[in-house]
Amino acid sequence: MPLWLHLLLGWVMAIATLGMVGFYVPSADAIIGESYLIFFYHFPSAVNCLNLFLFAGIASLIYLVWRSPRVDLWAASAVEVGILACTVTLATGSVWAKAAWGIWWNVTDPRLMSVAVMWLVYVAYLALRNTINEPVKRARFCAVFGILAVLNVPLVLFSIRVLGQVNHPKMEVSMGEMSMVLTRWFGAAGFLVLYTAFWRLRYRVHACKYEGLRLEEGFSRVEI
Amino acid sequence: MILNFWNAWLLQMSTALAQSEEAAGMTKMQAATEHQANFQPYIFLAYGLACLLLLIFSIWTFLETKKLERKLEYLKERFLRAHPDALDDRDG
Repeated sequence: MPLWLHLLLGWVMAIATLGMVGFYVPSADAIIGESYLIFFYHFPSAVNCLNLFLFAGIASLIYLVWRSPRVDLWAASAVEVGILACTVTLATGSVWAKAAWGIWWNVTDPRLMSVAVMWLVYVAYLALRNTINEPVKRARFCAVFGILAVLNVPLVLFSIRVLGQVNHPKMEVSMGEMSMVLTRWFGAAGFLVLYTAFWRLRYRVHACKYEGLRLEEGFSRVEI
Repeated sequence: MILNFWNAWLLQMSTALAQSEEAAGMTKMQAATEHQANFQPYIFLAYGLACLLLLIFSIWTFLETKKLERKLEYLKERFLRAHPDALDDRDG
């Protein structure tokens, strides 16, 4: 699929999800009322940020086996888009927390803190990428970091089961109606399409930079 | 007689409990309705923030890609013009 079409489809699906939130799902949930509407952007971003970090971990592992620079670029792109999805999750979650619990953040909540730690770990991954200039060394270090960082994914998933529930429950919304279930999974699919389009777009940026470096190397080689 | 008294007491208690539960339910519902009006700004804020972040990311990445692609094309052209065989040598 051409990238522009992929991106357009992702945006159309994300806006369609917004339309479903406005006109299709009930305006209030039986348990937490109207604020549950935030769920339909919060959940897809949360699921897809975990997906992207998982893809980054898999790509890092593949890099260590195959040593292909392209795979390293896929891993870096997945981390960048994963951080974006994680930021959307944290922003929407924080606004929802203020609406539902009356607080923007709770430092004792295992789910909130594990997601925040995961966000910081992946920001550190990008910082590490920017500090190493030598491409092979950078790719190797980042691959090891990417494999270690992916341990955050099960930590986030099982944080409530292991550390106990404070504010963020395992499942906040009752989701009894078919319209809610459909909107939830349509949103998850729509954001998967949008984030994978972003992933391809970021990969193109990295691929262009990589090609640029190769050409510069070529210039210097010929000059020598 | 004790049984009658016990039945009457149970009936009285269950009625009182039902009334208090109903009253509590009404209070909760009123509170929820009053509170619901305040949820709308949060919903707009959450969706607005999410869409803004995604839009900025899209535009920024798209522009960066276009800029890099143009630069790359220029570099490739310059390189091939200066050293027509060099790129093939490197790939080989």
